[in-house]
Amino acid sequence: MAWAAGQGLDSAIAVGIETLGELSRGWYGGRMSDEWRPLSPAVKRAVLRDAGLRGEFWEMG
Amino acid sequence: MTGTARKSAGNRESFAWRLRGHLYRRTRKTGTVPTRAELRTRLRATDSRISDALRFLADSHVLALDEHGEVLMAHPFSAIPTPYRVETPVGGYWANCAWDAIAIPIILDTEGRTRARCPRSGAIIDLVVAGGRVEPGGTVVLLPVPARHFWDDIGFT
Repeated sequence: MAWAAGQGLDSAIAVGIETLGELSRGWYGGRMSDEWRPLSPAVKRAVLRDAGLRGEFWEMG
Repeated sequence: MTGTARKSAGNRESFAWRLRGHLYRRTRKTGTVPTRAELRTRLRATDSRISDALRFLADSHVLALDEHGEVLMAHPFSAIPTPYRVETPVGGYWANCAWDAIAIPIILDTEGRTRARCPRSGAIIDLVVAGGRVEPGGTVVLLPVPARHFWDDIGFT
């Protein structure tokens, strides 16, 4: 991540596109439906966990 | 809150969610995020009502607006051209970032291809979503902002 830090992106992390695909299914799932409503913080945390994303970067606060 | 005020707020939110549904349907169909004027015409609403609904949705972190109150981002779609043009069998779309370029074919339940440039090496990468897979395997995307700060500056994120 030295390159990212050199760009001023000190907090950046690298995520594999396969993981982003998994994350997208949960994070954006149902977005095209009229019934979609924003995910609750608890659901977002579960989506991140299910995609295997853990650690301080992914904490929702 | 009085009963009348509660009903008014409920009507406001109900209209905002209806607008959101319309906006995403139009975006899927046309490949373009509707403008405020288009929303006004199609939903037969005043500009004030449209603006109010868009503000509610932006405050709810559903959309991001530009300085004129137009929709800038209806995640994962971008209302303006970006380096991430997603081509799918059902249409072409602008994505806000590499993550959103992957997300668009997934939420449209289709396949997609995005020709992107690696910011580090300058190499062209074809991001492909097909058959439930995202390729080329081993490719990584740099996410610059921790999750809790995604909406602090959503344009940068």
